Amino acid sequence: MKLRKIKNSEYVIYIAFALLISFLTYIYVFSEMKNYYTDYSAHSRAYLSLFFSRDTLAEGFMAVPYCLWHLIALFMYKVIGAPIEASAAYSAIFFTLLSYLIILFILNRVSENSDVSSSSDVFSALKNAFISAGLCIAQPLYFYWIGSGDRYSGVFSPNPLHNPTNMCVRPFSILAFCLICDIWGAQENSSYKGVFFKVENGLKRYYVLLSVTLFISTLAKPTFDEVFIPAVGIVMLVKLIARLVKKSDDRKEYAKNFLYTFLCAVPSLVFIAVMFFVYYTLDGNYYDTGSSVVITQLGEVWSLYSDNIALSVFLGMAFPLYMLLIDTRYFIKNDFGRLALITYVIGFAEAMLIGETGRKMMDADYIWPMMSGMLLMYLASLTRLVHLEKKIGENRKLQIAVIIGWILFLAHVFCGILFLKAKIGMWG
Amino acid sequence: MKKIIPYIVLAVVMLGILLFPVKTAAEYVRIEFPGNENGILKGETCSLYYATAAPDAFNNDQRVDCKVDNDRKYIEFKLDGELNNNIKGLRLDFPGEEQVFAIAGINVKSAGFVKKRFNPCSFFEDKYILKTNDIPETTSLRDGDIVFISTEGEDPYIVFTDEAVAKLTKSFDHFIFTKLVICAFIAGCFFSYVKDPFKLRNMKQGEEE
Amino acid sequence: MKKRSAYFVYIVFGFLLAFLTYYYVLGELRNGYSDYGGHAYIYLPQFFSAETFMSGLKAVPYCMWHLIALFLYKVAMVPLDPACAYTSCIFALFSYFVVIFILDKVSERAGRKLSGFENAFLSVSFCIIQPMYFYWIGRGERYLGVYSPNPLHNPTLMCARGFSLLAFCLVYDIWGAQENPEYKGLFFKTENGLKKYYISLAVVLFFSTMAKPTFSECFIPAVGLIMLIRLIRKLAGKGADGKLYLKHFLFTFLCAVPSLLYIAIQFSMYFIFGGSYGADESSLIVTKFGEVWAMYSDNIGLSVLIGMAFAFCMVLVDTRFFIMNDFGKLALVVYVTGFFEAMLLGESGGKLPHADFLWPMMSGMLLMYIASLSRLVYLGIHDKENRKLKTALFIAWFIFAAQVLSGIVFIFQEAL
Repeated sequence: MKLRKIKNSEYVIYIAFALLISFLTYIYVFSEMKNYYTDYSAHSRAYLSLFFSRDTLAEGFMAVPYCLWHLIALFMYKVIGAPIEASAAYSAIFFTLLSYLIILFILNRVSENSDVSSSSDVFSALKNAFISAGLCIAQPLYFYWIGSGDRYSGVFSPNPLHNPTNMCVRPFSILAFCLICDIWGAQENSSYKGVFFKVENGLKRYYVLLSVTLFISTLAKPTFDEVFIPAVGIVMLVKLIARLVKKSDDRKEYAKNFLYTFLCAVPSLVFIAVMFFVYYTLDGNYYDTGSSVVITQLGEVWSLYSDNIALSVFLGMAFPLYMLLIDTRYFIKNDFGRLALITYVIGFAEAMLIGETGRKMMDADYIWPMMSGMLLMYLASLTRLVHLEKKIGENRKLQIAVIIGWILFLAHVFCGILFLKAKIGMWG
Repeated sequence: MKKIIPYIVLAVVMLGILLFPVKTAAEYVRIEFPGNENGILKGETCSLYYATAAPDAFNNDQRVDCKVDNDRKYIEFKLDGELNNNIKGLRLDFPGEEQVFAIAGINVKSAGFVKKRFNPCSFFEDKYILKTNDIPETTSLRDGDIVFISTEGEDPYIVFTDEAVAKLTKSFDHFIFTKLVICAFIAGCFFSYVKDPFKLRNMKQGEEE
Repeated sequence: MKKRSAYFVYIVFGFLLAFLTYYYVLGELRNGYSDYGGHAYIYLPQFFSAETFMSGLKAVPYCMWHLIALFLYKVAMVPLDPACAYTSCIFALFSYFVVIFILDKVSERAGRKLSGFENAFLSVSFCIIQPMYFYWIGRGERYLGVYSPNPLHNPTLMCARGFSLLAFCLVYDIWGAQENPEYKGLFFKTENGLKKYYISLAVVLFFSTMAKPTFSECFIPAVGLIMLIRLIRKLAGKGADGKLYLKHFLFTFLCAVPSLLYIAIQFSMYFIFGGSYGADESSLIVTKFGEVWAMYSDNIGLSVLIGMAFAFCMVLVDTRFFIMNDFGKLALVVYVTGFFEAMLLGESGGKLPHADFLWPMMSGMLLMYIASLSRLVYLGIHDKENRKLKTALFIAWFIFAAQVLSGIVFIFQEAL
């Protein structure tokens, strides 16, 4: 893997877009903080305040054991001395920018790998920056007279911007996704050259990096790991079984790789176990003690917010579903597409079948993992679209298929802008 | 034979989806008010009574309430899917206030889609109204497709005729269209996989053809 | 930049235009007395039921906008306001892509294709461009009295816009092929035969008439006038091509027949069968020179100057283009025809202040603007070494930009 040198003009564009999404995030968080019943208000005013003194620190940790966002905000509040609203906003900006930069990195890598003659012109930089910023704010398609009539509830989103912890996990989930894809590539083929990382130089450091990334993502919010680890496990287990059945020469090698990859997940799994223990057994979740995880009827929780789950899925996933439709083989055969699809499917199954008892059922907390799956589907679809755009040649039908893909993606981005407009009330 | 198996599996999956038992979707009856001052409704709650035993057997157990929110410009009543084919009568109750307000539209929604729209002028014609109470007058303004309703006293309500009830309650969705779309999507994915329109099957992302 | 990347930019700018159009229309609909209010809440509901459908058709026989909105409302079950806004978005995007197509072809002919960004930016700008506005000049109105190549507040004229531009391009290429069999079409492959383009022209003209007859009312006379003069010249010259040109003239005329018939039907519905409200007392009349326009402008010359600043600037920069080149000439003649219709035609009675015969002039303004922008792009690419010309083009770009800014302010003030 060779990294292209980025020109100064490209940096200017990247920074300009970074400033733009920082600005949007800042005013969005402030507008959310104005309303007492938002997630931002709850996390900042109810949970974060528990971290302020030593006496309540343990209580705070029990209430939100996934406390990465809170710790950064706490740092801003206690060390820098920023007011609570600004601390929340800066913390959110920090993670949004991290997501933006990681997506930018991915797109640049995919563009360069797809097109050897890839120009480093201003337009490419502009396009990639625009798409990265777009993916950071993309929202489901919204028509107020269709579905539940809500921009978020019922449809859900790859970018639930209103939830600080889910936005905090986003960069780490994307990073873990790319890491695992390159690690798989190197595990399967020793001459594989990494798309995102230099895995050709040895996997050890990337295993460590994966482990750390997964752990941080769990510290941010466990919902990503709740789908990602099972998805990775299932794919690798199937591959291992296939090798064992076929008695392939590399079955022992693959079993070793499987074990290494599993070890990367152990810190996160232990932390998740601690969190569940704190949350459900020690009743850290103080607003409805005594709740527990249950298997629900199919779609029972989701139906509380949507009259037609299939329609909600379509509105929330129009772009990835379209890409799945036109290029199914990619989502079945290619590691990147397959992992995204399986993560989404597992998340979907969790959303349809898992809930909490009591009053917390309404919180629909097991729909969060699916939203992480949605994000990966968006990312895989987007990178595929960028890749296909450069590869399809002059075939008119395929060109039209790609153009429709762009229209759908940009429609989601457009809905993201309208979402922000509606929430911020920026334009009256 | 080996080639036919995937098609058989596809057919079985599609059949399974089509035959998969799902509950009938709830139906929402929405009454819309105009955006001007005529659409402001005094009072707190409107109710829709539904009778399942006889057309005029209304009781408090069979009632859906909707809070009046003048910012929203509509009231909406949710009728559960189980009520499909069981509703024999409907009674629309307005707040017990002396007032005149306008209705600009009536629509029925189920499974996330608007199923029917009714012109309020047609809907509040005499032939669709069985009985009224504390409603001295309903006036249709044909030009603007708006109905003005004046209410007074404690208990203003309108009981609809069988015909109007049938109109309002025949739009419960059984998810047939949704199932067909899901089947079409799965079939589309299947054929996309078989045809491989991008002909890039051996190419991993990031590698050259 | 590669062509494939251009699509991405076109789509991004398309969304921008759709966004502006959507909110502009919703803003207009909030005002019950706007054109949108009238078409959406008075005319369109007449199409809702079979009983009132005919009266709707009589009131607005130019019903393309209404039929699309009706489809969205009745079949797709979209609520009325967004259905109207979507309809306008569809036609705005149609015009936008036609302008992209025109600028793409013109710049290619000039020697360097515009990049996707340049083209998309210019095309969106063109779709929202408005006359310059100074509140202390004239009557202080942004639109009334000055008028506009993009009367955004009028759904039906905006609906006709894309078809007008297409018809303009078609006639230009058809003329080129008629004059010279070797001619290679600028926009269409007319070198392969004209039959399909005659049919396309007939269809496009018919659609534009169905959207609003005002474009055809000035375009068909203008095309006819120019072709008639050429025919007379050719016949007078006694050359062999006189008869051939007569055949071309007849074919071109035949393209206009469906539209002319439709206009005749519209006029009879409107004026004779009483479709137009107040029809019992109104009829088409020849007015005193500028009588109608003078109701809205104290100085028609000044209004024309403000409304046509960019186009007139280009006429000054390259007069020869508007006299000698078919593209410029046709635009100019259409505008002049429209101008005279505006100055001389009106409706009697209470409908005189409606100034319905000013609409054709606005179609002429649109063609003058597209011809001017095309020429500006062409000269900017083709003659970039000429310093004097560069200065002149800079001024033209400045005026263009000022008018686009005026368009942005117009949209934000009126709607957002």
